[in-house]
Amino acid sequence: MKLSVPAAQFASLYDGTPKIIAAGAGLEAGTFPLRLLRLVRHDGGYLLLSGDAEPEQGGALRTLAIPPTAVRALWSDGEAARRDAERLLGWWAEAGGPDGAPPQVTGDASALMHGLLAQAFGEIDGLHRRNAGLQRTLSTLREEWGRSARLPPEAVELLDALRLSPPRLVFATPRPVGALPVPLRHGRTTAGAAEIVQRLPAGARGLAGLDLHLDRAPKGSGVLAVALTGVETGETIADWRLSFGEMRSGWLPLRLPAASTRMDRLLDLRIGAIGVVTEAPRLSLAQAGLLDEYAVAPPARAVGQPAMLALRLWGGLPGLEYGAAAHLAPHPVPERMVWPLTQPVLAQLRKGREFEATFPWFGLLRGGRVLLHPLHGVVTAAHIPLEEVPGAVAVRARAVIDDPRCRTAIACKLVVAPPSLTVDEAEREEGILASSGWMVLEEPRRPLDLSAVLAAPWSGPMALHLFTDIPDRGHGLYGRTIFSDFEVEIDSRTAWANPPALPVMDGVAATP
Amino acid sequence: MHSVGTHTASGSGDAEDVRAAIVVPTYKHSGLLVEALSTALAQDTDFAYAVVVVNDGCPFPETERVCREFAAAHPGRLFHLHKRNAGLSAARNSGIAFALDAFPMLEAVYFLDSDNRIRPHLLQRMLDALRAAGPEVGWAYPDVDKFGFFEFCDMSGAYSPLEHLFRNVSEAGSMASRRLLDSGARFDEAMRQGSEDWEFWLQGLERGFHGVHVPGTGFGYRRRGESMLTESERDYRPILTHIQKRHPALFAVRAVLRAEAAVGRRYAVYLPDRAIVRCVTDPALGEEDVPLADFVRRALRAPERPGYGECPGLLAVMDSGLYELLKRHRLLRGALWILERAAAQATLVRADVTARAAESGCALSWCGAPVGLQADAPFPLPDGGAAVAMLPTAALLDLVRRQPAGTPLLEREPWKPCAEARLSLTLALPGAVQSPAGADAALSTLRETMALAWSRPSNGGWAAAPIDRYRAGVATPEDVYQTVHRLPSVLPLLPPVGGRRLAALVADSADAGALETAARMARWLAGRGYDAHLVALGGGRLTLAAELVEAFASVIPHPSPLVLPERPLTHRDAYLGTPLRPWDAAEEDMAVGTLAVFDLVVTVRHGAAHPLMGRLRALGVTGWALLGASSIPDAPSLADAVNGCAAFEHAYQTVVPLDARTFRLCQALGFPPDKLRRWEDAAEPDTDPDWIVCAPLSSCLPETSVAA
Repeated sequence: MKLSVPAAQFASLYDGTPKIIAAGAGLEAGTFPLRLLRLVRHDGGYLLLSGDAEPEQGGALRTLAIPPTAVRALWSDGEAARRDAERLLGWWAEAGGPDGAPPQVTGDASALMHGLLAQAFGEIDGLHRRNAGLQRTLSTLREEWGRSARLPPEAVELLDALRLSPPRLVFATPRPVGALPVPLRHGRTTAGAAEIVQRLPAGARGLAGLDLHLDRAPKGSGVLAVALTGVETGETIADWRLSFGEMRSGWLPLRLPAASTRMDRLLDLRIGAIGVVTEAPRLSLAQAGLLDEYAVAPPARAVGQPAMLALRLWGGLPGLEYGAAAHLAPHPVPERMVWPLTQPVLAQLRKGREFEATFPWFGLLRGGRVLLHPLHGVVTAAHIPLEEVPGAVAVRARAVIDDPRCRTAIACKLVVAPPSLTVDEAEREEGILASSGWMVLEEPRRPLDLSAVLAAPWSGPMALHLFTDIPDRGHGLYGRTIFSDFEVEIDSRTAWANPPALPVMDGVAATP
Repeated sequence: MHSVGTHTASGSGDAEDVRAAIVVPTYKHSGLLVEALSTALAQDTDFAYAVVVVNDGCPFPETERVCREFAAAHPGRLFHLHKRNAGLSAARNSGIAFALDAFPMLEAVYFLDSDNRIRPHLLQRMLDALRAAGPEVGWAYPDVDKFGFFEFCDMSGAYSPLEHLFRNVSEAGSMASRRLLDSGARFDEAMRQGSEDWEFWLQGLERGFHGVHVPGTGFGYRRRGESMLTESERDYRPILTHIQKRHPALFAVRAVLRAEAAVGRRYAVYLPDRAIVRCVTDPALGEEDVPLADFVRRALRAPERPGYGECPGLLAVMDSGLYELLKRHRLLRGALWILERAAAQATLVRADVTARAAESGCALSWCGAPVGLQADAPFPLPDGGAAVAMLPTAALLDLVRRQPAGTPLLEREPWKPCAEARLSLTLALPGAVQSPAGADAALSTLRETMALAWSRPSNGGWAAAPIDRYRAGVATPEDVYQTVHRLPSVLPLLPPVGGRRLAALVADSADAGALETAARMARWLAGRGYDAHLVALGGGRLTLAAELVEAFASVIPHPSPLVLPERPLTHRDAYLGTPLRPWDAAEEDMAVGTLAVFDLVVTVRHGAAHPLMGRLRALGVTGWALLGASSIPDAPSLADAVNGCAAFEHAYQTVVPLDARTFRLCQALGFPPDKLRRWEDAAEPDTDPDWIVCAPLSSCLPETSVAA
């Protein structure tokens, strides 16, 4: 069976408007508050016409492959019309699958009215039942969520590891080598004002805050406005407002009240300033280096290369509020933060002493692991120079004998020292900043956590010294000792010249 | 921005203005459909769009209820089709057909599966990208932000047709342009196990379209423990086979090689005396000279950002004089291929080269030996006297990133049998001079240059950035050829310009008679539209007189085994008493890879090559066997040579006896008479009447070749 429709009416057959199809001529448009479609024979097939419309001579037609939607009834008023209706229902089952065809009604208009009313009441009953069911579903969901905690996967992972940690450094640009003035708007006119846009190399989930580096604090009165926006949604995730009078040069800590639970994958930082100044605030720039897709807009150069804003990103467990408040802000900000030592830093690893051995005893292995195999009769040593880490209060690492065949205890030590100290001085712990002391690995594959805690926060370059030794003076066969999971804990109050800023809440800047 | 999905009773008037349609097929996702439809209806656009939900005969009544209620609530914006169940592809096709019929101004169709969701700017950004693109762009694709099991797949970077052959970079949640749909691209309704979206975009690629990546669209893909995708991943191989069969023109070895050359280069050859890196796939068809600093940046970026093929996967070091000498004598392609073959078995390949001038002709000899077989101890970069070195770019990058300072220790890649392959090449060529043996030092210098650049915090600091690197990395031939053809790589010989075909004459380098026959066949084929190359399969020593050298388009030595010692036979095969030596699996893969790029492979009295022909035939290569008596010592008897071929006769299209006696033996051993051909230029006068009337070999050539 071929069923067609005038092209202009094609799309409307599939919208949600309730329709009836009438085979035969006994029903006038407007009799029922539904859209009437008439089934008429046409050119060896059938045509569906809307209301009282007549087929246009030569008008474009569309052949239907899929039955129309929301047809409430197929009505016919005589024997010939009934046969047409049955043919239509046969086609309907073929094209639309079983159970999709509308009910067939024969008889006069009152029979159709009766059928439609029965349908309508049936659907009202169904709606009542579904509404009740929906209420019950929502109630069950609320009850279930009220009863059980939903932990983010990162928290589960953390609990699995049975350790809690403060926010960690996720990403840091290299040290600043240039500066970019923040565009300034005067007065209340904000339309068309320029702003600095910086794409962040991290998503929103777990973002606990960021640092911008202020090359020069502004002179005058006004506000620096920093907005964190999600690119996919266009929504503002956080909006910081910092008064010029309270800004000092150096790292500017911008924190979120809790590590973000949002899932935005692409983030932009939009920065502008409002006020009257004699010197505009200038944000520091770093080289974008390999990945100049993260260059700042408007474009700027840093020592001849595309530049990005100097920044640090801090991450934590989504939804977690960190530490106790150290200021008068309504939300807490963390006291302690963790600066993990990643591969580019660890790649600066050096031998502390030169030895010859017939097997590899020293090296940086994949995954940021340091091999320092103890050797017979000597204390092996290695060190990692660190550029300035602000406010360091502790250094931690993990040590393990990696070879299950080892039958000898191995001693190991982590020492933090100023860069000027020699290896021997570090081993003797003369003039050092901190030491884990000698710790003994008694058996293979059982790791020990080494921790060197500083007496006071240290800002400036330093060196991490690693030592291994064989306490029983044996040969230390298979004593393949691996150091890993290096991290520096820093004190927030010492590390930043500026107090941490929190986003504007309800239009009020939550500044310290 | 505003949504122009107007809300009127009839809705028919709005259809005239609709510029984009979101097609939502649904089947058994009644609980999630509401979410998908709500996000589809919440698009923020400056053009009119419509949502078309296609109920694919879902047996759950709730699905139909949701469709009906949304259609009733959004007349003129949401259209509802209910059809008999025929699968996801058919449902999408119904949506496409409806949209094309219903919306005359339609510019694009976006596909949203009913368990996924989209952010409000997706439709606008996708259509903007398509509008801004040239006519060659047929579709726009997003990053894939998986939720449920969270994962972000960064699909950025230039669209790579090569990458798309082995990895689906365009999710179904992409937007097809009107021009792509008008070209006839539709989802394959026979594909009901998944990956039909991949096949759909490949239709676009086959029709000459490319995709364009659109960042920041917010396409959310629901990743569940069990889904159509996970089932599809289990059935990956049969699905890929189906897709390959649907697109033979895309997946043919030569087409893939063309795609490889189009998106990048396979080899980066560092020429230290010129301080450049020459990037090349087939040296006969294009080279790109990159200043060292630019190459270093390109290589260091490769593990950080998607950009398939931007950095060559194999790094070679040699003096420019040696490079030019090999190129001038059409030996460079073969030399790079031998290095690549060795690099498949060892982390580092080093070659000594002894070159002397000869008056004419060409004599060369390759041999190899493994160093550090199965050894696990890391080893320093050598500082000996090699003239050529090769290693995977990824291995050098790993070294640079892990140990930028001090004495770096290279580690054997665990899947390779040895740490180092030590090769030796002896050359006697006109104009040859001994090249400096500076590859070791140059490699160390290159490593130091890269390490210095990596040590800059503005470069190395990016290693810590929490960005998706799934598609980052250095492209290797194995990525595509292993997935598509189950080969580690193929000879980088690109089809020549001008529609000429490629033929390989496979002869044993120790069989001077076979080499002469091969040269005659090469000349005969050259007159019939072929570029004929000599593949000297077997021993490493090859000597060719000047007139023989000229007969071949190039010489490709294929010493086998190359690096590892020949293994003792664990079993012997024999066909009707004729002994057959089976190939080592890795050597066989590489030999097939050497020959798979040719249209025609002619084995010239080469019994060892017969076992390769079945796989080559499956890859679309035509095979001819030239059979005849050999005069080299230890050659099998003629009957054994013919019988050895009979064991693999099925893999050959044509068998060419070189004389009447061989012809009779072929008949005796059951070769189908219709496969036997007499080579017009080779047959000696003979009185055997059947041999005289045997069909000529030229009748086997394609018509275009005969015309040429």
